[in-house]
Amino acid sequence: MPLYNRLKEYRARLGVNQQEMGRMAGVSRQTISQIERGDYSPSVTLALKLAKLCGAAVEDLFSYQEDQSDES
Amino acid sequence: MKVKTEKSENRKALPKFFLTMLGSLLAGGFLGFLVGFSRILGPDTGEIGRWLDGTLRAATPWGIPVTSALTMGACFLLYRSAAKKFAAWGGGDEDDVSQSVEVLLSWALLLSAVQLLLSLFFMTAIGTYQPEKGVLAMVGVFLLSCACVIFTQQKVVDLERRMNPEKHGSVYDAKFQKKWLDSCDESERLQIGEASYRAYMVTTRVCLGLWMVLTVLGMVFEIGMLPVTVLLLVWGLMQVTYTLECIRLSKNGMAAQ
Repeated sequence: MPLYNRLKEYRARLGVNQQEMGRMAGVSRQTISQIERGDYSPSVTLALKLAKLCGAAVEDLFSYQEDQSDES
Repeated sequence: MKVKTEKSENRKALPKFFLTMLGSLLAGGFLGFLVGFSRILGPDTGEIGRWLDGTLRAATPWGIPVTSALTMGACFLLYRSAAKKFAAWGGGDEDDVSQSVEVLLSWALLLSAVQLLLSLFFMTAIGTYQPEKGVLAMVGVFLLSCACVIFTQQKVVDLERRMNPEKHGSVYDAKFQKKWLDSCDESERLQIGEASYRAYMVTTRVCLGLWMVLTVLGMVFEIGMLPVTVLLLVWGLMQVTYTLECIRLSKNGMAAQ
């Protein structure tokens, strides 16, 4: 799915590890890891929650880019 | 984005469907021919049945202790390896380590579940064959095996909870599975949903295959209608539960769980 994110970067700025970030957002460490790797696209609720924790707008944290194949 | 109409999808799928039906028809005809042929020239099916019966009767007293020793031994090794890796990991961001611990624990859980099924199978065999000696001891071994399975699963769950402190539930609790699911987040629920759907699809295919096998076996051996009845009951129950749950979820949404 063409959803890109800068969660790892924002998490580093906060100075917390995946486990702590997960605890703050109410999800598991694995979920944070999957989002950072781009293997999982979070729900709108979780995306908003993560953006709030990072002190950023959700558009800064996540960006959607249309696939070339989708346009044809 | 390419828009596929219903008609073009159907037109594409229909030849495959007819080919599959034709293939199944030919396979069924061939099997029927073999069954008829085996009745005339084939081996004595009664003899094969008696041999299978005798083998299972001889294996019954040893079934639970031998399989338990093998599976529980393997579970112990897997658990010990996972515990060592977890101790060395220390809760950092390294995905490789945590994933390998999860995989080891999943295998331990799978083996313990298989052992429970084997124990139940051999317990039924004890009830069916009723060996002359040591029935009480065999029942004791069965109970001990079940206790070992539950203990192993609890140890695995304990380690999982140490890795994931947000998880809740104890295997000793009757509502363990519900509590565990409640403590899973959205991505874990999605994972469980996908795994459940795959299990549903595999079970559906296996049930269809087993129905064919049992129907053919019913022509050769005197197995009666009970095996097919039980198979269709389980298959039907799964289909009805799946469909009713889909209807409920489409009406109420996922939040109504």
